[in-house]
Amino acid sequence: MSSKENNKSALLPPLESSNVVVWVAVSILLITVLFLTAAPFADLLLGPSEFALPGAAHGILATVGMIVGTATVYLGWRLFIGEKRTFGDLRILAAVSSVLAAVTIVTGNWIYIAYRGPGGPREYFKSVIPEVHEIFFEFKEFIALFTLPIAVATTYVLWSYRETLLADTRLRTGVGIMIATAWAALMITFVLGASITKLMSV
Amino acid sequence: MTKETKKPNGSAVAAMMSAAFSVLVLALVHTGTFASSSFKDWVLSIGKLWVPGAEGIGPYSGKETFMLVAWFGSWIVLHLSIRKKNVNVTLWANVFMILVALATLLVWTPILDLLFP
Repeated sequence: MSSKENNKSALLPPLESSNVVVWVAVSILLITVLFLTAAPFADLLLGPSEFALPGAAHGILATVGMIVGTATVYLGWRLFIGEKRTFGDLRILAAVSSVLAAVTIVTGNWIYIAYRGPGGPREYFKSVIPEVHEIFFEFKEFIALFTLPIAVATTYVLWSYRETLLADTRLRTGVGIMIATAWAALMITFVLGASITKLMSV
Repeated sequence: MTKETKKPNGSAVAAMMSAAFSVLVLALVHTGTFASSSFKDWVLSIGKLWVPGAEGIGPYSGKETFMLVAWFGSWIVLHLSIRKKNVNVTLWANVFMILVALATLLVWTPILDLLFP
């Protein structure tokens, strides 16, 4: 076998379209099973805070959104470089990402009441480590909103233009930029949100 | 020989630019509330008009409202204006990145502290 063939066989083939959706679904299923069996479920959902349920929902939705968003970026990258010829899976994941962004923002609004309430994390952070609220939380709460319009715009273009995108390199690049931007906003939000929750939850 | 028809890219650019415009409006309204307490109260009053629990989340409710209005409003206007046209996607993709970058800077508190010491 020539060295060229060796190099070729060493490269992993790209995942097939339908496999990515299956991979995402299995990942979400495994994480849900892990969560239900390992997390202090009763404490989490039936704990002392009246915001425990929306708080848990917000965290789960954000985690699922991060998984789906990351898979969307992978497929978006393949579309961007012109490697992807069909992308029904990308359309589905983009639509799911948009819905998840909307629902996560709504549950985020709900628990924000607890965050700002008397004795809540905002009061605590402002008195102990004001930078956590004034810089990181404030940034997180706005950058989170960026994900929704950008994800919806991406979904609209993917569903509206479908396979004609393959012939339009510039528009494909525009879609790639939007997917990357939405994913960056999502990751910043997720990392900051998870970190702040570790310091003090609602 | 049949003539190949290609869907104009205007509606895609309209969707992209309305998203960028909405986040910029969000950032500008946030900047305004940072600079003026009376504007902040007014923004809160807008949020209270329809956002459930607006009193609890404060002016954030009004900022979300402005973002949504700017998003849908600009999307409708742009879509109707350019949906049948072919526009320079490269140019507007660059404008998209600049607007989003500007919006990102304006929601970063240290920048606002510099602007409004």
